[in-house]
Amino acid sequence: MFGLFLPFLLSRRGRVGFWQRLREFRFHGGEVRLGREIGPLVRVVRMIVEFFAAVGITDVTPALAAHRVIALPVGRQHGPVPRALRFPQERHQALAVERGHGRQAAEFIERGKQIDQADRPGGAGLGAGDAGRHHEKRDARGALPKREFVQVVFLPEVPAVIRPEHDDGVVRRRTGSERIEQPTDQGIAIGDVRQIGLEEFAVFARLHHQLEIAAPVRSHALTAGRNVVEVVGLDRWRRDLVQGIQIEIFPRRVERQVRAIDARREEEGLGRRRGKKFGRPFDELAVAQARARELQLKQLATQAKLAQLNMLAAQLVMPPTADVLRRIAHCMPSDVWVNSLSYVDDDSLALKGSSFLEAGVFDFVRWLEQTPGFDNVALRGTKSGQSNAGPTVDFDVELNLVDPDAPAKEVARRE
Amino acid sequence: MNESLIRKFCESSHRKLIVSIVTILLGLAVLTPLVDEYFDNKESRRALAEELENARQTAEQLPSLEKQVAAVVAELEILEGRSVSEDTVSAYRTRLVDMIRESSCQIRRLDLAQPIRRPWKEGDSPLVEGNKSDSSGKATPFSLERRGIQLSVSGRTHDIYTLLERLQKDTTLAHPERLQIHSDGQNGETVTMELEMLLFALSRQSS
Repeated sequence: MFGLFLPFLLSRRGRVGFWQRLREFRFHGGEVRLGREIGPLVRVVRMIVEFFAAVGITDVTPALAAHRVIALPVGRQHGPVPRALRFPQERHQALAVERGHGRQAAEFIERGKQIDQADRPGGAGLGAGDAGRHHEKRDARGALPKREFVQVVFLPEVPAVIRPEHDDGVVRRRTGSERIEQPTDQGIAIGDVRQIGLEEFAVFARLHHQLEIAAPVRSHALTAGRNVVEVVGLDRWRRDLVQGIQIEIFPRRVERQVRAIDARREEEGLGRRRGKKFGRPFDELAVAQARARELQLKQLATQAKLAQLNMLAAQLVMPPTADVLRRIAHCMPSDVWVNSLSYVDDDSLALKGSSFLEAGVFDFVRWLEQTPGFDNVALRGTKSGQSNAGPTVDFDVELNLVDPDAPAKEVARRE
Repeated sequence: MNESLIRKFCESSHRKLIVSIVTILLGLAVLTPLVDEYFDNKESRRALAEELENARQTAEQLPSLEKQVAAVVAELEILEGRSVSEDTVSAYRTRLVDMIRESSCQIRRLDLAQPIRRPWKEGDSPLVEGNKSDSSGKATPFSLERRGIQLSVSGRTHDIYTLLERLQKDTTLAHPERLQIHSDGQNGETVTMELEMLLFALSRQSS
């Protein structure tokens, strides 16, 4: 019987709906009762029953739940109701609100201008309006002029410089504003370290007095290395030739001590019209002539050093010591040996040796005298010595070295 | 007054002569500068044409000049390779040690002294020390660099001969200052050679 009514009973039980929060336990609990026919509602009478005191229901167990109260909002100095009219201006007193379905509650902030850091590329300028709120609002009240923040270079780029020892001291000559028809009278471009090339207008170069160095560099005009060896002058007033420009070049490591002497200005006229007429062929000739001048200077410098080196090498001849030793060895009898050999000077030798017999020493000297390449063989002295094999005769011999290919001299000998 | 002067001039019998002279003087005053400028420009044109011809000849001779310079530079490089300068002293030391080892000799000592520099003159002698040089030649932009080397090796007599031959064939700018060969032991099989040499180089004087 109870099983027959069970589905019906369950269908009338209270449920928790979808997306509805679970409330207090037994707060909306279901009511179990028997279903029967409901009679017609005859009348509803409004009647108020007022009790004089609280009346407790004796047969109902009181629920163990907290009484519902209204929580007092926590505020600051002004209590729960801020004086600001708009809640974004309440700042941190604004309560957290739920912004929408499934989103997190957040605090209201007022929109402001975001000022990027100055070392970021997005450092935008401010407009003429409010200065913004976030970090800079209290500091910047008025309207700010629109301008860019200065870029803070975090890794500064070192500008290219020329160290003093690498600076050839050639300065670029400039003048003020001039018309196109009146360019500067001279132009020296800083190009290769060994040559100062033409700048812009390369025209005919005069060979004879193209380069005049008043003060030599490194004590010589034909310098090598990083010094200036070629200066090609340019006179733009007469564009069909290069007027010789006398350049004073001071020793290097002194900056900007190059100056042009007699940088005269020629009147523009017939020569200028010629330059316009001829044009580029003169440029090629100027380049070729400058190259020829450079080669001539290089040839002169090379030949100068070559001549001195040849002079030095001619005086340094290695004596044929091995050959001398062999010839000495060929002169030694079997009972003579040499203990020491030394050069007295460039063309004389000193020999020290020993022999078991005194006759061997004289034989040795005699053979030396007859050997080509030896001259003035002199036996300086003999003395008695001692060796492991027995008594010896020690000797000192000096001789001069001559050309072994020279014709042999006839030596008169007294037998 | 002006009217009277003009009248006198017009009534003068020499008025034609006066007009001619004045005209000639005015012509000379105007034409003389122009003529001078004309001849000046003509002379300039001749000089420029001559320079242009020289420049063309120079340009034509440029390839042969480059060959000449290359030959001279190559010759200088060969001669500079024989000198022992600050840059090449290490290589020379290595080459000397190799020669000694290839000759089967043993190195006892090898000392390289610091270089001594002095100005180099025309007709100077490299073997004369700087303060004793009596050369009255013309000064050159070069300086002589002299460096002493002390070498002591030991070995058999034949090996010493071999080493001396190698040193003789070596083309280094060197000069033997002292050579001493003496017996190394009682049996005389090995000898010790002590050699002092001077190494030379020629460099450009610094400013």
